[in-house]
Amino acid sequence: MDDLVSDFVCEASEALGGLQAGVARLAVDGADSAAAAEMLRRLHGLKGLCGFAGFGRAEALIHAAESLTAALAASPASPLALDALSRTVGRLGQLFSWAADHHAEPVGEDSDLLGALERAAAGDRALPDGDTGDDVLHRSGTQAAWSGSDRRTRAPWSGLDTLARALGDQLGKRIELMVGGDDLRIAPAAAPALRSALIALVRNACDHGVEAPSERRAAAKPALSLLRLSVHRCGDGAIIEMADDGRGIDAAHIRDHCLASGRLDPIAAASMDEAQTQELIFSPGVTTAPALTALSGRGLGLELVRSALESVGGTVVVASTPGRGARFVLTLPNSAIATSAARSRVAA
Amino acid sequence: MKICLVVDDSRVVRKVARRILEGLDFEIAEAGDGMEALAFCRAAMPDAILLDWSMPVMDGLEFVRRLRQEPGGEAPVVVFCTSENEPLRIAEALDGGADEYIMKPFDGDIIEAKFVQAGLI
Amino acid sequence: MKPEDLEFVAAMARARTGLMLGSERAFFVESRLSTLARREGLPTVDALVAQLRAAPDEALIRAAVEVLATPETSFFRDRTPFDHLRDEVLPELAARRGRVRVWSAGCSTGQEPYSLAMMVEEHGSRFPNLKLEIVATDLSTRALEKAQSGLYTQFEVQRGLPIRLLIRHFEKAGDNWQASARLRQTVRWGRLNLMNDFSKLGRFDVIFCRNVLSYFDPTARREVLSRLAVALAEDGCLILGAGEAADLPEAFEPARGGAGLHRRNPGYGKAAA
Repeated sequence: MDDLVSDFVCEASEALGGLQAGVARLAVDGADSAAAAEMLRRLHGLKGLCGFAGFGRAEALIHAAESLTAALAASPASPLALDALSRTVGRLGQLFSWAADHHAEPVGEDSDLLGALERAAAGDRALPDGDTGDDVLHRSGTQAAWSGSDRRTRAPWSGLDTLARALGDQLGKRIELMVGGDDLRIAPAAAPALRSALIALVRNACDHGVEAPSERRAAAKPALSLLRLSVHRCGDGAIIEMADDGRGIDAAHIRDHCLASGRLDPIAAASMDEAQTQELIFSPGVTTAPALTALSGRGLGLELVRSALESVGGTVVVASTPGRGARFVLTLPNSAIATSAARSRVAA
Repeated sequence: MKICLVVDDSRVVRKVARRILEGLDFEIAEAGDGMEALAFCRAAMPDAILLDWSMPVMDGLEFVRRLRQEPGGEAPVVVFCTSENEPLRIAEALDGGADEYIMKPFDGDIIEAKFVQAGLI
Repeated sequence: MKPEDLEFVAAMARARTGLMLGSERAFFVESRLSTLARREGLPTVDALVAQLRAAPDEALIRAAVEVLATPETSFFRDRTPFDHLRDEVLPELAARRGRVRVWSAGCSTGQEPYSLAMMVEEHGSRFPNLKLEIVATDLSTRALEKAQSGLYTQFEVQRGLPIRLLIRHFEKAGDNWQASARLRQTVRWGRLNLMNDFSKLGRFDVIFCRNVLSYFDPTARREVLSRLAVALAEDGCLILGAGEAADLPEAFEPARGGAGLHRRNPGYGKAAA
């Protein structure tokens, strides 16, 4: 049965990517019935394969996930549901990963997860008290096993690659995100705000920055769009940059929008240079999108980015070259960086 | 020996079906989607076709409709083998030209019973 | 399973139902009892047997006996008897008297009588004046409950049932399939131990008793066969399972078509009628 197991693990791991994307879509919009239907189809197919390969644990997990996903037709995905589904994809990834090396399903117990899936399917909506939830965006299908304590010390930029890919799928664009730079730990107090800011920047880049494939082709750009996130320590704190290779910020467009909505006074506008005009992107109510999109909503994302950074004592500025891309530079003060003292408090 | 073409985009499913059908004395050919399957049939019609529904490029329903329009295309016994299990979908497949229908998950007993039903064994 | 446990269980089953369970059926016994053990919340077959020995509770004994005595079944099992009924037996009987009574003895979870009903409905044009009555009995209340509900798993409805009959007579019920009300109404169900008197059921034109009698000890088997002969119309037929023999030659002889069909010897049982 060995070669069947190898084929199965290969196919099943690939299938997890699709499931992962589905969960990410539901995280973006809990009532996305198309995403739920697609997930149900994938889960059902994967369950069948597990049956053939004799992977009973995986089969049981998928069956419970199927029941939950089917229940999503009646009511939107709750935090408990998303948490349970996300953890299930992660658990399956662990199972298949182990199986790839050992040619068999690992023996083990999933009653905690099965319970969560069942509760969510039965209508429980909230996570248990004290549980901040398994960040849905954190999962990668090929992630190696990690322990519970990781949850509190993981980086605010983890899982953004999955988000970018999922958003790309949804928008019909090919988008990858790469993270690089220094190994930096963010203080627990500052992490949530920074994470919200980064997520908003990723959404903005995917939705507005990255052009549609046809536009990219016309501009002789590669079909794959790369978002780069880099993290660097510097004397007074840290600098985090998010750069994309999209269409950049159309300063004139923003200025006109602001003028038209009355946010900008024509006389002030006349004396603004390119950089200052680009900064308008952070103003409340600005949207650079021709139409509202479900993803970036009313264009408030970037305004929130600025306020989030300011709440932790940081700043954000943008630099953009029209047609080439945009670069957001976030600065964080020392207080937002974790010290060893802070780390040990978290681990306790 | 009768020839059965197994059409499914999953390598695992094709492998399992192959094992079962070779045990029932069939010679097996494989195709990963409807387009590949159609190309195979145009070269030589198999005696039986075990057919998945949802596949990239060309799905099972479109394949069977096109097959039945090919010269000699009415000959192969087409058995759908899919996770679609709604009565309306089943009726759609039968209308499209399928002879029998297996709902996944399947086992050796079911494939054998259905092939017997279809007059292949 | 320990040999003495198997003997104990076999003796119990035999006393109650005439069922013969030799050591060659150890695997069968163990697998059936393990299902029951699970159902009863017992960890192993050994635990179940220990319970049966220590505290003989009527309900548990009955359950154990039922689980062993109930034959496996599927839709249109062995096919040929149904073909024979369709092509020869029913057209003949319908022509002669119109009203035909069929008994599925040992119907288990009901696939056999339902198959008959579906076949008759599909080929009704061959016997236009047929008025069919189907009676189905089994020892197991559990099996009968399932049969009456007409609820089958996706696996069960794919074994032996042509797809066209499935979508015609069944509706999806979650992951399972349920026989339509119309189909369910074609059969009358009842609990019956073949070892007991069944003369009150009346006379039948066709009796299915497939894969039931083989498991009885020879004496019990012949005894049941002789009473089946009395319950069968003179021109009726008894249908046994593939490979089963009606070892009561004075009562039955194999019919021309084979396929498990047996005709009643005209002289037999006249005195008792």
